[in-house]
Amino acid sequence: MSLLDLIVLFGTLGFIVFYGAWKTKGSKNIQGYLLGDNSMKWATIGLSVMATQASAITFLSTPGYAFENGMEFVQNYFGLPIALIIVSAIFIPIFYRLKVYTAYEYLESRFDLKARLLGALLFLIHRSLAAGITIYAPAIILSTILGWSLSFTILLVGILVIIYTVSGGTKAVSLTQKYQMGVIMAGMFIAFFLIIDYFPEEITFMDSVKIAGKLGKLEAIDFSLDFSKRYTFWSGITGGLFLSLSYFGTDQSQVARYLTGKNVTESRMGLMFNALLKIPMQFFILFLGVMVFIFYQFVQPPVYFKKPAVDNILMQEHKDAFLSLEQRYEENFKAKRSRLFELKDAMAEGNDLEIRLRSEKVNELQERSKTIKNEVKGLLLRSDPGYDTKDSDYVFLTFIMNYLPRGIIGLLLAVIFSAAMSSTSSELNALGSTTTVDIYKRLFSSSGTDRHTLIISKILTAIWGIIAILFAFIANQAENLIEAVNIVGSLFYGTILGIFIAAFFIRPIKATSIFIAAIVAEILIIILHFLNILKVVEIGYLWYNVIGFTITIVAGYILSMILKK
Amino acid sequence: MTTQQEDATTQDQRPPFFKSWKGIYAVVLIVFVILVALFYLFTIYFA
Repeated sequence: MSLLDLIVLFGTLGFIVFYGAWKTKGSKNIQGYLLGDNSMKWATIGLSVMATQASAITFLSTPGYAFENGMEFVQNYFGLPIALIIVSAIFIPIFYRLKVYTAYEYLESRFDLKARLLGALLFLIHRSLAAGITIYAPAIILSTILGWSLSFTILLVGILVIIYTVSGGTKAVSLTQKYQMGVIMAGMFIAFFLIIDYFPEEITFMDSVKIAGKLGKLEAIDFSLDFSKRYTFWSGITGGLFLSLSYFGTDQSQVARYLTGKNVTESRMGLMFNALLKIPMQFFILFLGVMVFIFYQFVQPPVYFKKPAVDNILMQEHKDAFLSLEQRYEENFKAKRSRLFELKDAMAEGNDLEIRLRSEKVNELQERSKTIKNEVKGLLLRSDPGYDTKDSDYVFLTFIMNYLPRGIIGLLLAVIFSAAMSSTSSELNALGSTTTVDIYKRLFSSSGTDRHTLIISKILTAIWGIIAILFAFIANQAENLIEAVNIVGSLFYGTILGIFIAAFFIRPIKATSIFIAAIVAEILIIILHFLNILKVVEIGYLWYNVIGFTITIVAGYILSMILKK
Repeated sequence: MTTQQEDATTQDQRPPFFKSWKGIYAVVLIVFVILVALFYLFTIYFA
């Protein structure tokens, strides 16, 4: 990497971190530290909520997903606007009225202490795991591509985040996220326009979109009622709704963002900002991935995107087999490239029959590319049977490193690091505040002074930062990193949401019933997940949210009726 | 709660541009429906 890129990268990160820490160093009490003195306007809240959700994985894994599978992942976000309306209309006024620091405080006022502790505990378990993945996921990719040590990359993200999150609390998190989102959006737009600019002269933007369509990459909506498919309109609007409702309504990393609002209106407007912009933003990031895919239809891509694995195989007994596959891949690429130009000409002429015939030919060559790539993966598995052969998360970063100009590479890397830091900071802040308010202060130090609680809160935030770094060190790479975070969330969110919905809307459900029902639901969801892994059942993970929620509510209601008698 | 406090709370909860939050929520839902329709047309057109 050039000196200019390093200056842009570390200059951007350093400025955001130290400006954020310096600007917010004055938190003298726990209210300021955890709720930012309730001073935030809607724009800051909106960007903060968006930055919390958009981790580095979003900007590495999402374009990679679109590169491989197209636009279907956008449906995952279809439940989000509806969920945000529900949170805005129902959750926010209640949280404000009760003047809570965390969402789980409400559970004690509605049920009892054990419900509050259960809610807080479920949050702490899954959010700490997710925080580890949030740091690890970009670190493994960045370290592989940049040739940096994995430990150094994990520590770089982790320590920078701990510095400003511990120092400035919620206010520092929100303020830095505002600048981080600015860097992220600027970087992504620049990358998008550069990709378009790099297409061959004969290929216009519209040609590229039409070609992507013919290669099956633009199927954004699928209305089929197939429960085994991960992303359909129906799984998005139901499972996605439950996931989003639980995430925005009951996950402290998000609740803390909008509780910093000056008033109910500012908090609500911050959420509505996300309700309007989140889906277009995800669509744009996926579309960028599709454009990278089109770019690599005209510029020879590597047969396999994890370069260290390729370097490794070239030093082994499978070298000749790999070189032969690589040659076949290049020949296939050249044939496909010629056919794509023919397809483009047929589309310009509007000859339907020719378009169909040439599309079929291109798709046939595309399938052949996939087959050759699978053979390469087979070689890698022969060398190391446990090796994770999925390389789609490396596609976007490989493109950045190989084709973007100096300076812009540094900016795009700053985008990825900023995204990693923005979501990690919210997570650490929420883990620290939940442990302080719901566990330490509630169980061990209800009469502690404000200053004492503030110091404890800072210490706990730092401890969670260290735990997240440790989780990042021991995390195993999942099939797809963004899915890994969502799967961990889906294992717990249905149950947590069930507890909150029972609290808000179903008065007959009482404390003991919901407590037992939630534990039963959580155990059943974890069993279901293992059955899914073992292929005994086949179900998209978004449905865990619906199932966990339904079991909690139904079992809670039945138990309440039984206990009442 | 006193009347003055109630007034302040009501002021705090008033949405911009609309008389009630229902108007804002309706806009969000309409935009969502339009987006789904556009994505559907996008899928069909380029398939």
